[in-house]
Amino acid sequence: MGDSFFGFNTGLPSMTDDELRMAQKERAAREDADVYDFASLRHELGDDDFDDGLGDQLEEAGDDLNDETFGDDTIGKDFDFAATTAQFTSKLPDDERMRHHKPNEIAQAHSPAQQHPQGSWQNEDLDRQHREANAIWSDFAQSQHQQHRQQPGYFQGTPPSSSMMQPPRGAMSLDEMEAELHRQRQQPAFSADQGLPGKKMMSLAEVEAAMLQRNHDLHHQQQLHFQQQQQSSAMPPMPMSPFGGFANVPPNNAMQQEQLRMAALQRQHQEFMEQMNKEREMRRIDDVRKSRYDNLMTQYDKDLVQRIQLHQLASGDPYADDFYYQVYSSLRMRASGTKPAEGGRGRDSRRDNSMMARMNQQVQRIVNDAKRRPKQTQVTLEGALGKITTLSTRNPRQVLQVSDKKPHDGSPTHIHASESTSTITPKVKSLGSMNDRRRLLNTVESLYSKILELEQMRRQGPARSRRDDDEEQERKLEEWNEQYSVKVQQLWDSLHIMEDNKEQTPLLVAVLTVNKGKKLIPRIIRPLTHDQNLSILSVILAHFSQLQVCRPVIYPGTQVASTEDAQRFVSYEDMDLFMNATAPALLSFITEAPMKVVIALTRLLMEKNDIRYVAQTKPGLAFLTMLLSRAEILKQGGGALHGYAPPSVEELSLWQDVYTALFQALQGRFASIFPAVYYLVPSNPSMDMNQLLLNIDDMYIWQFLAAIAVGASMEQQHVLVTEVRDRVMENIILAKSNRLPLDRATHRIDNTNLFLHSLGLDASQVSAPL
Amino acid sequence: MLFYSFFKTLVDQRVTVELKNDLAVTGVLKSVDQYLNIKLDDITVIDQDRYPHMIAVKNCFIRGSVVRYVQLPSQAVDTALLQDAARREAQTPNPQQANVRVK
Repeated sequence: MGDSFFGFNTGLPSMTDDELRMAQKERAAREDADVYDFASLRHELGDDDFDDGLGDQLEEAGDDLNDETFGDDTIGKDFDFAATTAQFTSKLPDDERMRHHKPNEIAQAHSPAQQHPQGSWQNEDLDRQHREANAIWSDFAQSQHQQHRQQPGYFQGTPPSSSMMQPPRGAMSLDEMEAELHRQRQQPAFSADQGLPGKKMMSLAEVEAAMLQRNHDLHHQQQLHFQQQQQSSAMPPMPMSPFGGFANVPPNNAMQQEQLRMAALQRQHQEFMEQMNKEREMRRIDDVRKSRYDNLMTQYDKDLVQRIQLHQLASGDPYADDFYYQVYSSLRMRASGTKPAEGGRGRDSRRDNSMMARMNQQVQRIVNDAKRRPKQTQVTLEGALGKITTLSTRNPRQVLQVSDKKPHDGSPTHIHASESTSTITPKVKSLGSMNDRRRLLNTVESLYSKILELEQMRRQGPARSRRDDDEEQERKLEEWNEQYSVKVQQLWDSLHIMEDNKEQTPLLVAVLTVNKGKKLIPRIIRPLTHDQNLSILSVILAHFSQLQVCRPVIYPGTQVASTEDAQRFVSYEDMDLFMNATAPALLSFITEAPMKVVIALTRLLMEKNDIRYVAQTKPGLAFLTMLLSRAEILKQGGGALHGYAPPSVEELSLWQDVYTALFQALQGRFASIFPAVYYLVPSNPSMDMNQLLLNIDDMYIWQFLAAIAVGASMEQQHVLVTEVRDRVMENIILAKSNRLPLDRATHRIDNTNLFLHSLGLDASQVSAPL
Repeated sequence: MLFYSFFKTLVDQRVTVELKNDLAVTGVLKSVDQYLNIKLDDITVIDQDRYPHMIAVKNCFIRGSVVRYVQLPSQAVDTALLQDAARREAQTPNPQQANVRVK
């Protein structure tokens, strides 16, 4: 044969010495290299058997002192690199061991296989070197299992058929350990391969060794598996392409094509599966690796760390520090009510519950400890002057400390602080009113604190403990009730409703000037009794015209035309807040009132106030509407819902009188109840006043008109219609003229219909000129 | 502890945190602690071009002292309850030392 690819002589028969020499010389001649080879040289010189005696002339003496020079000791193993490596690699986890030793395994597996088929002299040479290297290294090798780690990187590895090597290697190291242990303890040999932790005869070390081996085996198998998959996945891509190429060649053979396609699909599927398996294997390997260090901390340790962290946050009364969160979550729980996530998700919820329970235990522990040893906020060190405040998150160092001394009343500094912050209605306050406002705000705040206390009492309920028997519990409940009613009484007293201040505006009216007062009133109503609430309502109605919200409204986007005293107006937002926050609570009171009460309230409203002025405001109309409609309902027998008897004849006649008085007072002025804007100009000069007018929702007016029309006699109805006719027409025409978006137009029509239906008419009956 | 309590109710809401160094980050509020340190999940930076180094960042931990603003969804807040909580906080007296005294 000619030269093989690499220029090796691939011929089989090996050469004799002579032939070898010839070949060498030829090679040398070709390469122009000087080859000095003693054997060939001697042969050339014809000197093979001649002993030239030169060897005898060597000085072989003077070796006596060698031992002294070089010492008797054995050659140290300090530079025994292979052995040291072997030592610590045996302790490495397995995959890294793989990395270190794979080339060696491969080399090792490869070399025995290679030695025989390729018997050329070059390989023999290499073999010789091989064996020499063997010899060199084996001098340093300490034990038998180190033979496997020779020839670092000597050969480049290829097919990974070496995986076979690993189990024996692993087993050998463990077997070794076993052997040692057996030798040490001289016990009958229990094979380490049996299943292990259960058998008490084995020592702990053996158990651990066995477990380690199990892990290794697992590793080996996984890696075996892994590599096999690598192999097989490497294989499929190859056959794919030639087949793909060939598919075009026999186009006639459809069957063959089909089969090929099937095969290709199958291979794809296989590939995919193998990919999945690969990933799964990797994940498992990672899991096992990561969980090697599990359970380093005991549950006690974990609890300790948690306690340290919770120590800062824990407190005895969660409501004191964590108020917002506690109340918010309880409100949400109540709101979501029927669908909590508690029992639903089995496993997760149980785990969460146990966590929560454990945390609560921790907190309890901490709190109890804290109670036993109260922590001082201020600490004095011995030998140092002064005290040190211990700072915590609850008690942080404040950057500024504002002194608590109250300024003198009426001091000149207050004049500078007289400009109010309201941008819509600039109010210039005088000295006295500044103080009044302050005092008012303080009063409102004190009312708030009382309300908060009451609500907190309600939330917590009477103090209960499991050790009490029924009597004890009852007693505590009574105590709680007492405390509660005392607080309610204090609240009531602070409102000063029963006191008789003829001249001054009542506190309630002032409170309703402030926005937070408007929000406060509905909260006050809840704990108070029915009668107390009735008094509140009466006071409000009696002084209705003095209310802040009973003033001409400044609609959004507008401002007051002239620079009049802005106290005469109210902003739309404030009025809206009243309607949304305060009015509903009061109005619901009227909805449940009997006839007597309705009559009394209406009379009060009329007598104490200028009803025409009141009727020009939205709150005024709202209250009037409610009173009128309630009266009508009662007349028609609606009082039975609350257990009231139908109104008696006197009541009915009384009511009629009141109604007539009301109607007469408003007669001729019905048109004026519609929003007037003569005093306003647009804030933005480019906006049209009419446009802004159109934005005002006048539903409440139509509701009032409907309410009053229901109880009206024929002439009264006639009067009503005459007076508001213009407005009605205006609305209908506007709605039909397509100047408004559709929903707004229908809204307008509906509003008007409220009134018209009460008269027995309808908007469609009106013929509108286009 | 009012703000701590408040932020605890906002966990799992999407908020925007603006820092004192002008970086603004939007993310889901994952946790808050007593120092108002904030952990956000799944973040996006408001002005991506200015902060290219934040492209790969998915979660972050922000020290409380560097926060300037936190923008939150208004429907997640119960304002009346917050006012009440503030009133309660204001009522408890704090015995503290201060750096500066203001008269």
